[in-house]
Amino acid sequence: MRFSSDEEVLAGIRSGGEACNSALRYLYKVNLPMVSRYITQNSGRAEDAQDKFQNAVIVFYEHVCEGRFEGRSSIRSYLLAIVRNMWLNELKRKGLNEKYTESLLPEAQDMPDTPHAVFVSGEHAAVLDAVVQQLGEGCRNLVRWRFWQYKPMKEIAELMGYKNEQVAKNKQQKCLESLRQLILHNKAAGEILAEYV
Amino acid sequence: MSEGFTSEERIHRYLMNEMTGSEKAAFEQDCAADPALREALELERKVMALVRHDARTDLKKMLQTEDEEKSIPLKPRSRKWVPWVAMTGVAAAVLLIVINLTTTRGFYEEPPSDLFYGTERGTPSPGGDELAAVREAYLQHEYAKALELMGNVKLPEGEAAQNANFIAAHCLWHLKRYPEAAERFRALRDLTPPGDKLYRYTWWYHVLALREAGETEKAGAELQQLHDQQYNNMDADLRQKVDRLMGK
Repeated sequence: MRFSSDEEVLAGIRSGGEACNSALRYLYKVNLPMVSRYITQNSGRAEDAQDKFQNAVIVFYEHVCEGRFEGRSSIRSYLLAIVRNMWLNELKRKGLNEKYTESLLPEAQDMPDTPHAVFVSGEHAAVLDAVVQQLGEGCRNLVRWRFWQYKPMKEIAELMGYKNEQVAKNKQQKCLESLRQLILHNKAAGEILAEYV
Repeated sequence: MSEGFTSEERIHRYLMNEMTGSEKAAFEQDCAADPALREALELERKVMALVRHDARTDLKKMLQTEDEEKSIPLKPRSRKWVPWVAMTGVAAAVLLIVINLTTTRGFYEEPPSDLFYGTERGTPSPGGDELAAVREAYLQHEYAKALELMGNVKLPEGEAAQNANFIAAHCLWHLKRYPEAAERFRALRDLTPPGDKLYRYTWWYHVLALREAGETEKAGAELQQLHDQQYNNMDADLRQKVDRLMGK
């Protein structure tokens, strides 16, 4: 699917479902070559570019959901600013920041620093995956819609096919309680999450 | 309760940045004075972090699929090649192996349990209790601890040594110490009879570790040798992995 403007991409993301997936895939595909050039010119490998850019698209999506992306710059500049921050942090972590040479589009160089999230990966991710997979599919969707996509309870009730908002709220409480118990009963998961909150 | 919200609702409003300035200040004041509220807030932060991790993982998988769809598949080999076709095919295969080996993400999986416990030849727990403690630490994802415990184990010869090396190599992998993991897998191969399942799997992990250590060409050459020498003896699972990494 092709999108002819940032407005169309944003409309796709905000409508959710398959339209949202298409918009995010489109952003990834169209901008990856630029990101790849930037990362490989700055001590990175092609797979670093893929990994960082996937994370950047996720952060961008979260900013849209949270209302933090205000459209004052183009989506492309915003994405590149996120990647730049992530990659600079990575280089600092590896002690390679002296090798950094700015090679982004001029429009991205003018962007202010964009705060980005820290991603759980490797064996830590495996521990968390094992915990969350103990939760039913319905619960996983519900809490995701509420606390990741910031959907209002009314909309969630409709998505879940519940009679009203109160039923969805009750279900949310049960799901959250299950999650709390899962975390309290898995010491390793609790410690990992404490690092990332 | 405050302003008609339950404690749980206040925590969620706080974490989702939905509070007004004065509401937020009041909530932070309450937290400072109330250890139970503080504890509930910390737990809820973890819950949100877990939800976010779960959702991100799915979205990331979707974007990774986008990369996989762009990769070039390797055509299956024909057995009736004329020499020049064969040479071109080999050159293309080596090139594509190198291309494919630019990422081994998604190829690493925990070893089959019969190898992990060294029970393939009917030996239930080689290495005794000391090695069992190492294994337990590994299973709890405490890889640094497993390696530390390993240093205290006085290993007998033979299968227990193989088993210990196998665990150690996987610990190094999980700790992202890939060059050391590659060396350990290579050393283990030397300790293992070539007919064993462990031998073939160790070789496979050696390829993955070499790649992650940045030794792409060496990894490509090892993969080709593993394929040529052991393919017919591999179980279906390993065969599938090798095929996939070779881009078949």
